[in-house]
Amino acid sequence: MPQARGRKRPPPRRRPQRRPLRPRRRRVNGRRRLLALLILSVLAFMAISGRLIVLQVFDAGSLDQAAARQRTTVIDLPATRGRIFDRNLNDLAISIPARSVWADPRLVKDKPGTAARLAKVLGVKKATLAGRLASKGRFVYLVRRVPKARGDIVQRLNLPGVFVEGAVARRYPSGSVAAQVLGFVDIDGNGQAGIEQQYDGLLRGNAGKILLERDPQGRAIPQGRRSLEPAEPGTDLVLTIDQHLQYVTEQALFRAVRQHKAKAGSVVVMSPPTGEVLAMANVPTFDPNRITARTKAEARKNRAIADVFEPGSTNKTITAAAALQHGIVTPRTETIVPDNIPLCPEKTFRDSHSHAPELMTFADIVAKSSNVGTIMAARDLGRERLYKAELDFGYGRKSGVDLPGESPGIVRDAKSWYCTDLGTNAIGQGVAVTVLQMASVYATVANHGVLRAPTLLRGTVDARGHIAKAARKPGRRVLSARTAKSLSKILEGVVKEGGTGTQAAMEEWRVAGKTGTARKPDNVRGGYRPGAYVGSFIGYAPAEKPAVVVAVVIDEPTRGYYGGSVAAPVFREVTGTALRRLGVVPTLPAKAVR
Amino acid sequence: MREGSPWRHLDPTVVLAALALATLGLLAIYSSTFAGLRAQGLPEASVMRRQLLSLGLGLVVMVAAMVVDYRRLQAWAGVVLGAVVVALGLVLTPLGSATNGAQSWFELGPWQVQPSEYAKVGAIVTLAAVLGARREAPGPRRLAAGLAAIALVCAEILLQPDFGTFLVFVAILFGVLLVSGVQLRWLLVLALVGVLGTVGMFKLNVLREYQKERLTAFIDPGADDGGRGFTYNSRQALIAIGSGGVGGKGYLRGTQTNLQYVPEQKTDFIFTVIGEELGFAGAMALLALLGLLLWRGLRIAAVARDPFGALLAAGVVAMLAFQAFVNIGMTVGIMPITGIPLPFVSYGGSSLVATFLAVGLLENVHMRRHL
Repeated sequence: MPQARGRKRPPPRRRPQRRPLRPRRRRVNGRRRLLALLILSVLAFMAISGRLIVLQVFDAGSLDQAAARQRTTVIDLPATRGRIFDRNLNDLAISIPARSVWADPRLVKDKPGTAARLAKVLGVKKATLAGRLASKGRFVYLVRRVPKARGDIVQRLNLPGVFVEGAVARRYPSGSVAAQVLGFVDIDGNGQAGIEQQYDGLLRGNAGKILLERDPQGRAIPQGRRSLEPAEPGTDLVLTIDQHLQYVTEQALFRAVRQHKAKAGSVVVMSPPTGEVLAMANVPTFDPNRITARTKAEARKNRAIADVFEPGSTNKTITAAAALQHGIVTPRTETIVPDNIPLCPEKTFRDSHSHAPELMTFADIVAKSSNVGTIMAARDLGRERLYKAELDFGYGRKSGVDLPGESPGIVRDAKSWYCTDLGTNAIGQGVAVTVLQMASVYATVANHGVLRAPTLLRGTVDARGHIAKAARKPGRRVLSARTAKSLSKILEGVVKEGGTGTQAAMEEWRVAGKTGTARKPDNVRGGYRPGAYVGSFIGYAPAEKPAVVVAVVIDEPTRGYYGGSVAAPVFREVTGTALRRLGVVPTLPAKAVR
Repeated sequence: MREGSPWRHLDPTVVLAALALATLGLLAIYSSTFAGLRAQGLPEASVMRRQLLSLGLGLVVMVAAMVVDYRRLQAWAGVVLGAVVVALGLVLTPLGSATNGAQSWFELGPWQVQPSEYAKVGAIVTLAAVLGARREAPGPRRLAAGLAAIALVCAEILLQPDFGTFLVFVAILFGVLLVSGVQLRWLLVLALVGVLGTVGMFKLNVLREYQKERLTAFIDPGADDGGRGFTYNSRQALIAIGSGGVGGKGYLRGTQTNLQYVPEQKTDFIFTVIGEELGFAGAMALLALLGLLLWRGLRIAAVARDPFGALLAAGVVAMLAFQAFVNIGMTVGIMPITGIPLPFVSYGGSSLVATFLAVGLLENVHMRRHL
């Protein structure tokens, strides 16, 4: 068995037989494998050809567009914001070329060094700049709207990753003059308050753009396609404001507020025949060139139109106007006026000073600002007619002046009046108005009974420099000319000997007006706050042919508080300047100079 | 035996195709560099002229490689390998210089020599000599010897590090092994080792970060590469080629080319110039020339009178085919970005001269197929 097994073992015999075959077979094998290499190559070439067909035949259009797109860059051209002029074309707001500095933090190699060098040039704290350079992303503004000269210096430093771009900066050459009227723009050049906000659409113009072909480094290609859409500069505005008068008004107001240790104050100067606002001043104020987040809202606010106050005695003009208009009284109507009037069971109205019952003409009642006398006339007038007169003079609705943030004021419907409301309304309590609304009331009387909506826009300047006058709303008659004339006579009595507003009287012109001394309501506890007053004087001159209305309101004066003493002197100064600015010749005979 | 000069058996198609490809390369190099040179105030043709000089040198080297019977080279394979190993070793010393993170060339006066380009040809000669020493297919011992030689060279290449060139060596190895008739299971084992090795290199941080990023960018083009621009490069190449359309924008009229949107354009991305300016037609013409040359190369391998000649030819074809496919594939977005030049076309003296050296060897095998 073992022998047979050994003999039958086939492998050892086959091996030598196979050996010579192997090389031959494998050489054939090798040649066949060349075919494999060929097939592999053909497949690879087919793959590439297929891909090329996709790219260059099917996707060619979209890839060509992608190529064009990345070659073209859009550069925005900022439009120069329109200038704002005063009525004599003095600059109130201008736009100047400026520079903004930005960085691509990834390209800035030496961040501390870059921050240090820029800090020196730009006058910004090093830490602030370092913080901005540490930000993520590929774009961060380091400073914006710095003077062109500074931007040029940065440009010359040639710091890697730091770039300078063109910008337009807004400047208010007179600083805080007319600050609340003009308003201000934000860092992006959008009007945020005042005229800047109101007429933003006109002022901003239209940004232009340049389309350029650029290489990857951002250099313009000399023969590349380019197109230019020039920026359209914004429209220049001419305001009704008189810069010089505005300045004098602000100074006079500021001195009065300081002298009487008041909290705030406002003055509005208007032209009665046109409704044009010649000056609108507020204290406290701010410099729109230096507006920051820390600028107090109290300073930014145009309180002459945004804040309301109880007018007090200046409201007696409306009561008087209605009483005259409806024939309840004439200026010469005589009445015995006691020092108190028990109008309602729960409330007795009193005059500010106690006195024995007195025989007074209606003119005297207004001149001496008698509460009792006024309320007696109002009682005969009735609540409906008094309420309607207040509405006719513009209470409870916006005056329509072209400024944002105007308050309509508060006046309650006569249907909901209590017994006392007739009395309070007659003497200017329980109603709330803006300074501008009050100025408008007196302007209406001065303009022979026709109310003209106050306005700040005189006209616009077109590209050729022609001034297009702003459209004016038609006036609205509130009083007959006769009523206005007799009321004006009564108001002239206020500044005469024995009246409450003698300090408003002037040597050159006849003045008409009314004082007001109102207590301030306590918004928290109700009633009136002890010691808190609003002193006002509102009037116009020359009384026979009024050229200006001036409303002066001093808020919470603590050193003296009567309108006749805190507001009337401001009125006189402002009115004098205004009339001289307007070229109104003195109408009173000069006193002989000794 | 003598039937006159071996020069009578020269394959003119190979030489003409190579010359045509090199000419296309010269045109593309001029197109991609003249604008930039003009902007710098330099002669517009200066880069192209350098390549022309290299081409002249390459032709001389090609003719020289055809003079001596290739079979005598077999005995010198050891010396060739030794020279390759020494040159690649020296370039790693401070004698060598680095660009793009790879220590890969010598600076010899105005000339730069990249030994790895010549090492490709040297590796083909060595592998063909070892694996084609006898008529029968190589057994495990010769296989091991060939692998050891190529492993040594590859190690030096990876030390530079130059991952792209390493891949070319792998392709050469694959091509020569395939045609050498080695058993398929050995090839499969090698392929497995190769895959594991690639994974290992990723894991063991042999690859530089940028090399990994390139591959990652290829696999996931949408991924944010942190502004390093690997997807950007690829995208720009696609835009340049695609915007060329069927007929191209015209020679010297390629906007993407002239504006240097495409990076490394005269070297690795040279195909984009042809794709943009000469369009689909030009690209296909280039592919046809390459295909013609490779087909003739395979035919030379098939008709070679001995295994050494066949493997020599197969190695050259594998090298050229792989480089062409990976390079063009990278520009059209079907291969990852690796720094592999397009043979004959890309700017680079060493690459061009070494490629013509390889063509010379190919012709040598063809010329002496009957001897």
